[in-house]
Amino acid sequence: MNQYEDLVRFIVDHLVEDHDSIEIMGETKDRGTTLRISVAPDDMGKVIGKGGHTIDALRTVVRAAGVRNHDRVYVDLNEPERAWSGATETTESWDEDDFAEEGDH
Amino acid sequence: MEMDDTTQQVESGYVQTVPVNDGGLEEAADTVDEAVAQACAKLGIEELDAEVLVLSQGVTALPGETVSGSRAKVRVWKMDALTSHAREILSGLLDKMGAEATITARRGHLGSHPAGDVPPVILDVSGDDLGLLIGWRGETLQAIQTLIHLMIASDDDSARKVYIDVERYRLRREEYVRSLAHRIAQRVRETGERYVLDPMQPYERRVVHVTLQEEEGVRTESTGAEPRRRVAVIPTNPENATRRPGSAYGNRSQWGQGRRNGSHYDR
Repeated sequence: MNQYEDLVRFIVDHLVEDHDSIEIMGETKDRGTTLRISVAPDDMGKVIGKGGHTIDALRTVVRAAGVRNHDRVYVDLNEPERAWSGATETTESWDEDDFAEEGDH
Repeated sequence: MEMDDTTQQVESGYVQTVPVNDGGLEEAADTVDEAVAQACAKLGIEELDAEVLVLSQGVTALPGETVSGSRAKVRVWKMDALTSHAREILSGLLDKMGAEATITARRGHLGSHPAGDVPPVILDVSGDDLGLLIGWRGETLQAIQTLIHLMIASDDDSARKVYIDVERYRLRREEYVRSLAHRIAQRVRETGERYVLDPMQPYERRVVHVTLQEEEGVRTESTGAEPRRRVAVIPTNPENATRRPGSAYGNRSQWGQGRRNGSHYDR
């Protein structure tokens, strides 16, 4: 699983300013590997991006790298408590709307 | 446009303006590869560091045939620092993704870019089995593009655009989207009814807007939110319609994907 950790580190390292604070923890379960990224609080925004654009792109790229080896690789960002609870809610409600729309056939 | 440029008719039919005194070197040979190699030798650079604009593909002679006056012609520049930096990062990323690929730099079209600006550069990724780098509807390619833009971290907004393409996917999609746009415009004019295209990548939506800018009788606008943002093609003179909506090949808005007409995606 080190290859995916390397990939994530390579990307995150080029996005953030505080390179020493990057930590990536891998956890493998039956249904796949989850890589948890920690970065300095000031760098969170750079990894998440506007509307989660950056972290989404990162997830897509890592997932694609896993497909070749039939590995399921997920990426999560460790969020400090104080940071951004509001934004998570927005994402969830958007997902619900979208789901309702899809199911309405 | 004031300039001391030469305007050249490029093989594919569009007129391309090529600045003359910008360090580029023009070479002709039997094949594009040979022409590039020659130019690189003269410029004293590695082929890896070359940015290439193909002016003419040349014609390959069949066995026993002699072809004259149809040589491959290219213009080659030494890659600039930003492109070189982008290529290095892209190469690192692909390597870490486990993809074996070659990256070459192609000079993009001037197209709709402001005169005087250096045209964008396209980093062409080629190799075996690279479908994974493209993904469903180019989703992975778009993600790679997004990350590379952020990773090269140019704070300069006026910096040259660097695009990434895999196995010419973007180029092929662009051609497809352009012909689709013309077809749909024709239909919208005939039926007098707006048509909402399937969701597309931002880059592809831009191709539709630019393509239909010059078409009579239709205008375009984007509706909905990413990643399901779509282009609507709208008739400007619906009273000129010659065909009833829903007739002929059928108006898809009655079935299938078009069912979402009137949903929040379309507003």
